[in-house]
Amino acid sequence: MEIEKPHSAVSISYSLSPQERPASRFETFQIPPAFHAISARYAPTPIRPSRLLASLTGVGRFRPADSRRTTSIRPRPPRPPVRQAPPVMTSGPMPVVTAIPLAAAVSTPSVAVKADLQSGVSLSEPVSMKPDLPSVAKTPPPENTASAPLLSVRGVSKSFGPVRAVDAVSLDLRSGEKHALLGENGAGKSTLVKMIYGVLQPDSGTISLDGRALRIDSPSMARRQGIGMVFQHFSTFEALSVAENLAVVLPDRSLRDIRRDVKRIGGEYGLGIEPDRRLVDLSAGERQRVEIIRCLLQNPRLLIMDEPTSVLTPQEAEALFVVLNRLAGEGCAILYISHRLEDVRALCTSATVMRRGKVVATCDPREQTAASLAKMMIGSTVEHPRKQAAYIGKPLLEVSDLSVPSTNGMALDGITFAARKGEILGIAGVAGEGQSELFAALSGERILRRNDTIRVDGRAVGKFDSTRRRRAGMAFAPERRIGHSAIGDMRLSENFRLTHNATGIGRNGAQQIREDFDVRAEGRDPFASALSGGNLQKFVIGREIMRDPAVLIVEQPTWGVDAGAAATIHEALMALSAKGAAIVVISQDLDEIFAICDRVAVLHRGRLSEPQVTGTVTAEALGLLMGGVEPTALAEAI
Amino acid sequence: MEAFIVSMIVAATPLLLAATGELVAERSGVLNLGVEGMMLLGAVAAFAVTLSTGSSALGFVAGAGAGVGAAALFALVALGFTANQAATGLALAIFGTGVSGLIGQSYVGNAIDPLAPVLAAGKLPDNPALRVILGQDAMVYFALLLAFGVWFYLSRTRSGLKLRAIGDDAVSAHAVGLKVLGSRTAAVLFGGACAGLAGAYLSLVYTPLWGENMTAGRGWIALALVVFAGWGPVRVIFGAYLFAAASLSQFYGGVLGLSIPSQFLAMTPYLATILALVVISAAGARRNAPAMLGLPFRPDR
Repeated sequence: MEIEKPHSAVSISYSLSPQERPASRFETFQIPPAFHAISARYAPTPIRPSRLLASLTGVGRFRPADSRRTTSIRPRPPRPPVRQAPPVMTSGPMPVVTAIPLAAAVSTPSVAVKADLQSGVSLSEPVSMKPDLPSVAKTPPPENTASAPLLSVRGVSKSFGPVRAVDAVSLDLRSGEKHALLGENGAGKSTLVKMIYGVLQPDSGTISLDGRALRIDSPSMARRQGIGMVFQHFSTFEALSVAENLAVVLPDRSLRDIRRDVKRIGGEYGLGIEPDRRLVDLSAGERQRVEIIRCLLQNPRLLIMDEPTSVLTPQEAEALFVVLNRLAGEGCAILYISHRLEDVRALCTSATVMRRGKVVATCDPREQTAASLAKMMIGSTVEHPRKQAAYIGKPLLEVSDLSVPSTNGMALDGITFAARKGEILGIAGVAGEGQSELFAALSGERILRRNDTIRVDGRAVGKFDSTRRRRAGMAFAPERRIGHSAIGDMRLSENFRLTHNATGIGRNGAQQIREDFDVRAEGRDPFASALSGGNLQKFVIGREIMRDPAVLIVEQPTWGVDAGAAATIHEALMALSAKGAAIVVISQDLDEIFAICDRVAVLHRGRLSEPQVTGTVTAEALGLLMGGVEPTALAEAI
Repeated sequence: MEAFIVSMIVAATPLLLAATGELVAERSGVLNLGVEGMMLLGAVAAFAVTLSTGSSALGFVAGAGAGVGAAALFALVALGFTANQAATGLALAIFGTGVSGLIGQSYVGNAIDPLAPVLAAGKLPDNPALRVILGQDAMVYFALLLAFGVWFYLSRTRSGLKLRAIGDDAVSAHAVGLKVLGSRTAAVLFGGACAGLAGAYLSLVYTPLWGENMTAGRGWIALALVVFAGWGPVRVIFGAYLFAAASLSQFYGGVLGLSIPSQFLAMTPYLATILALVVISAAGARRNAPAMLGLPFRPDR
């Protein structure tokens, strides 16, 4: 069953069930000539990594690229301007490339761009103006070949044991293209990009760059080819400092230079990362900044971003989009992996949708709705949870003047709030503003000096450890799934007992959770590490809900989780609150807070703002609070 | 006093060599508990070669080679086949003890000339302090230089940084393209060479004899020394000299007029090892401890 959408510039075709589609068929999207005319207008503006970093911070201190800097921005040796036709044209509607690809002109700015600028030639017509064109190029090119793919993936497959993680996937990326890779957790997106980045080797199929089939056998080779990647699970080293983390992958820069660069950028643009701080002391958001800096310092021409905005505020995400747009304008191709459909629609110009290892659709996300994209991803429409009007009663969790001195992190300063029966209280904030410290204080991982700082249903529990707090009716689901909520080397049944032993080991409910929360995994009782992120999170939330707590504290409940799992988790949390529990959701995802929370407070530099009803506060106002604008100043501004 | 310091230096050198090698292996994330076995194999190989050729230098080369061979076996099983590192290391310790005893059977009772000091006795100055400092054999200085060299390598070179990164998080290291298994194998082989040299020092210098199980637990002390030093090469030097002083107390206790049973004094180095481990663990001073120590790494996924 094929659906054609005639109105879109890019044809969409997807089937509702993957079985109906033969595995061997490649689906290749083609960019219409009109798009190239548009994209060619974005002549590569020179940009230094430090400038890119400026916009990452959201400080907005961009200066226009000055004209003196037009010479060599990317110190890569110029490549021969003429590309041969890609040797691997197995199938599909790929036309033979005869013209000079835009990629060549864009990716060698030190030569081509400069020449074009001097002669006043617009970049949109480099083909006819080049003097050294081979004779074949004079034949009129086929309509949609103004740019040959920078990256071309053809029929790539990868299996892990019996599981076919990636099944005959093809996709093309042109220079300057912002391409989204969509799919649920376990759809094979990460496996695919790991093969492009050289972490994994494909079982079959080819990956070509500039039309040349390459065997990318290591990430360092990928980096030499100009491929950079920001991982979803950070590939940083906790015991090393920020500068050392950068030095590990920048073999030709001295540690002193890197340290100075990081410091200079920090001072100049307010990036705020001390080069000598150890990563173990940084928050998730700060670690991501390190990852992004690390990538940009290598001048990539293909940048792979795996879930980059999941730990950013809306402002930070927008600043990131500015960076990515500029990079793309410069000719860098972006492969953007995300579950956040709105992000994809705002940023990307094309998208490949994967499901169960196969490509099920290619489309232009700007012409889709979030719902239609989600439908392609999971094969059925996502039910967006809606907050029900719940009965809100007496306070079940009361926190009064909670102050914790700093140990390697943010100190908590006089935090006071109450979460009432039937209420979901959201605690928003950028990464590293005290979330993990607050969670530790609430969960009893950090035992408090005064017993009455925290009361559960009137009972003082401040001096209680986690187990005693659980007995008092609390339940906890921390941010880090493996190593904090669950132990990877333990089976689900054992992980179940980890928090249930506090209230007596009864019947093992692991199987029940798997049924109730649709936790998908192979085997009767798998290891927690074998579950994908979304499935493990459903298990963890289910495990805590099954304890029927009076107060549930969850941190980042849907971080890096696919849309289907997020919906399941949100519904479960709302159902629990409707049953009369008080829930505190510590989250950096404002969409999530607006979707499920009754009230929201903002954590900034260890202090908590006055909770406000989510129906009356805007995302912009919260974003400003998260950025440290004082509530009084905010009130005046509004 | 001079005699005590000289014996302390000689006793500390094999500890320092073995611990420095093990430190490098552990910083790469590999826990090789087979130091004792590698030392014994190095000791017997060095003794056999020196006895037949008369050359101490060749003996040390043979000792290091035997250590590398034993470490290669460990690397094949523990890194190549991702077997449990602790179990593999223990097996190597037992294996080395047995094989060295077998090889060394015919050498028991033979004696060789110990390695001569760098400066002959006649050329030494009269100042007792300078006599001690300058009057040692080449391996004493080599061991100290090696420890400083390892410190420089780990803290000042890019390659050492990569090795620490691998020990901290092999999965991330693999993801950013570091050669995890290659670096770990090299670190383990370096550890084997150092352990072999340490064993050779025992059989060629410390007691220029071969005796079965002659290391007497020094391999285990070296392991504890790495923890004691908090995985820092310079602190390993202090630790080695401290432990050597403790081990000499059994001989010098009587001289100093202490009425402590000799059996008790004989167990001081081991007691000190346990105490050091307890104190270190309790103090939580594992700041430099490689996070992935002892965890096998499979490059797939």
